[in-house]
Amino acid sequence: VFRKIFFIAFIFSMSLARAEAPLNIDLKVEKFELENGMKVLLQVDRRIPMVSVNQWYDVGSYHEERNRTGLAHFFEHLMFKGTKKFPDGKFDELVSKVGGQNNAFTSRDYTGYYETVPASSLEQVLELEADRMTNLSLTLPQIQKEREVVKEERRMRTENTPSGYIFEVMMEKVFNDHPYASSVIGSMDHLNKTELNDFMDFYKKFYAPNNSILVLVGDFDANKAKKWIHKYYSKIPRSKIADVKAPPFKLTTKNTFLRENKRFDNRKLAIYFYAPAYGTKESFALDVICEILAGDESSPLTKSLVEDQKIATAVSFWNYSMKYAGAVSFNADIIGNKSFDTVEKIFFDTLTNLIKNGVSEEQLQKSKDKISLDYVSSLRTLTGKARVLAQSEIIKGDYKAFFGDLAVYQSINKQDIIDVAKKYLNKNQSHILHLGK
Amino acid sequence: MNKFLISLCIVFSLVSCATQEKKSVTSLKTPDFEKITLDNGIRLYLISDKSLPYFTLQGVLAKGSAEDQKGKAGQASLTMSMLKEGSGNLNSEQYKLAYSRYSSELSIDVEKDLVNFKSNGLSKYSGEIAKLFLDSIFKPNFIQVNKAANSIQDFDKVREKRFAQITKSMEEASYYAMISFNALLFNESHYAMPEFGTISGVKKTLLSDVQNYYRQNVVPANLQFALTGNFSEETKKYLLEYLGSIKTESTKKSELVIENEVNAIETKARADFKPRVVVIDKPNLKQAEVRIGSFGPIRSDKDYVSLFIANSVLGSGDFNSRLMQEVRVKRGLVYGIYSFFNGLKDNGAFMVAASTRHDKVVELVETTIDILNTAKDSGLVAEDLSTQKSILLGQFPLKFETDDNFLSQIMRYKVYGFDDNYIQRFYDRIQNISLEEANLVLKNHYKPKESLIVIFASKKQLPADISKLGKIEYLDYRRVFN
Repeated sequence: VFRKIFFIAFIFSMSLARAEAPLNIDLKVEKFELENGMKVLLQVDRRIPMVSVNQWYDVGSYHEERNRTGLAHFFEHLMFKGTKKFPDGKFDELVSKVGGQNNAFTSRDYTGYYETVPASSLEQVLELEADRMTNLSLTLPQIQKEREVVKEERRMRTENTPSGYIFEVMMEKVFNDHPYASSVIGSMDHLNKTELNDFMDFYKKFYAPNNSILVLVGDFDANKAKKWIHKYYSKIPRSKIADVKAPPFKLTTKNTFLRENKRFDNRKLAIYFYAPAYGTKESFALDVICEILAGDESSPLTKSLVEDQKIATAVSFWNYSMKYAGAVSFNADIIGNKSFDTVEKIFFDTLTNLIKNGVSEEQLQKSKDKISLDYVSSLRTLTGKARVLAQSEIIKGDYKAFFGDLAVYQSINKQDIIDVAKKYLNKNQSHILHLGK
Repeated sequence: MNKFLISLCIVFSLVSCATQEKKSVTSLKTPDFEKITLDNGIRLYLISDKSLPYFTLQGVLAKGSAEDQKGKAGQASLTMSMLKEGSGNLNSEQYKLAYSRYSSELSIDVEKDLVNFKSNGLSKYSGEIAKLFLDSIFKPNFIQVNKAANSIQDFDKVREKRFAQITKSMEEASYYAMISFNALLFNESHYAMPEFGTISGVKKTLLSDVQNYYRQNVVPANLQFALTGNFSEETKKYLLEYLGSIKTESTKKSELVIENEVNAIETKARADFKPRVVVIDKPNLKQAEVRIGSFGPIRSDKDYVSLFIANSVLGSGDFNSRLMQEVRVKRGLVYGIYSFFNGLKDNGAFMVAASTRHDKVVELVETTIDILNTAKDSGLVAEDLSTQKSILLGQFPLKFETDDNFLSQIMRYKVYGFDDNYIQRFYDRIQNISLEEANLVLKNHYKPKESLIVIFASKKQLPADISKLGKIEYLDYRRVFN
């Protein structure tokens, strides 16, 4: 999940929004909804003769049963396995033959399928995406083969990689009995158990036009695109989307400590906290805190641990915000056998100092500038733009929320920083892992 | 926003067979840019785009880690790290604070043949960031005699950090497998050691060595810069004046690398190569990393682009590529697999990369070598080449999607001796290559029977039939670079 950020004032007129900002950004987005409930965003950008097609579904690992972790991601792989009209292998073949590339990803909140194709091939790609939304056909042998691929992906991302391992373990601690606790890739045990009927149930429950959004960004004729969208998608009926209820979040003072010294050699310290949902002012304030304390080499945590004390080679502090909640994580790569406790103490002392003395105007401003820069960066490519629009639409129900975010960032003041640090970055609410020998 | 750039008139049928070769049917218009060559030899490229309040300043140095002195792996990289330890009137701490004030940083990427420098930022700070960027490169503290004491401390700090970073990299399985493969393949070549350095190399590298590297290599004739995005006229003027004021020193013949010696060393490395199967043992790995390859052509070889195109049919990593189809889609052995030719100035390598569960290592290696052998002996299928050409042509405009990315490629091509039109010729070659030409370059350059096979794995988890791959040499993972 990429950072979300920014601000732009916008003028909205019926179906066409023009966003203009103090940063002088002008982004025209056309939005409409089909009768079957599928939302569509169109943004014409003729810088290169290509189109980024993004079909996202409002379903992620959050929507899985706890005894079937990894199902949403595994299913994402299976969406390439063919339909009656375009059998197994045809999707990739046809996209390739028109000079396109495609891929997909799954997060806790949503699943995204995307193609980057020459502008002349847009219609064909829309037909392929619409077809697999409703006509997917799976067989047991396909599932068995793909199961091994997904397990290799798990070994690569999580079991062989310290950072992947840490993230999996710590999210489980932060979210405990909530669906966000499960890793997106799923446990080996569950990957082995998931069967054909699990996937088909999942498909029926969540893959429908009224649970999806289509975003096109690039060099296309909007009128033709609309015609093709109606042609291929309008006939797909809306369906009842399963309502997933998760236990409510509670900010508790429960904390945990883990020590793992067999799996990896090098020392890493991880400290995680529960955090509020994406798009809330508190979440944005936590972004600012992370930027102030560890955003670059001169920021307090980096300077202290890496530059002055030379205890760590690198530190990171970031806020992973999702639709319903988030997690703030601090990670330090500790040098040799230097002390976990010393790093931990410096981290919490730095937080205490922030709460006691606040931040300077300069720190606040430069962190906001950095966030603005990240925001602008995300708009430099067709796919970057398509993703930020899709993400805002899926998570906040309105792509325009994206343009309002930076205004919220700009409104954050010194007291907000202190208040949110006190509320969320409390040692009694932390989850700590000492990894390595 | 719509200032540029590419008009592609793709005339040929994208699903046609590959018989209609040799026609230049597609025109390509790349972004317009301004190029200025200063009296001192520095080249500056410019593209102005006011659509976003964002700019990028980047540079390329036409020297990289291949210039490291023997036994001092990491010399170039340590030199570049010292650029970030203060410059102009700023000490290390003040320098970092200054960059931070403008929400920017200097990122440096050291490769075998070149170094990339890059800073980006909000347009309102373009002038301030440009000054910091240029001072970092041209006025670093560590080459100034009156700052010697601080430089020694800064260098010790950089080196200490580097030791820890190298140790840490041993747990990044994919990266460690790749640098181990390079070390075992290139052996005595200048390209053998990782850009980042080795523990022993960094230990042996002194402050005087990085000063020497800087003075020998960071000279106008080796430098190109590019300014893109939304920057002010004042920033452009400042950049021109600053760069124009850099004195041209007569480039002494490098004490580090002597041209004819380079060729002799690279030739010998190729001549000395023997096929091997090496298991690099790391007990707690959960998945084995496999690298298979051999020497390949240098970057300026006449076959290089053809080979790039032909190889992508097998190993582009796309789902349609032959390795992905057989190894992932049909057999479920890997999550991803790709192959590539890494053409460098004076040498080159071919490598296939994948990871799999320990009990499937033999099947992965045998299947991969079979596929390479079949391609070498029987050639490609016309339809596969046609599809791959469509992908390469279809995705080509992404090279120009951002101006900084486009100019980065132009500067990179220059390092390898190509002019500004090279990108057009590259594009033309994709259109024109015939099946016969593709098959010929594969036949000439694929050498699956002479492969170096590197398996980064837990020895005790490997199956007994690993010996089917040949005589296995075992190496402790901590000993690869000792």
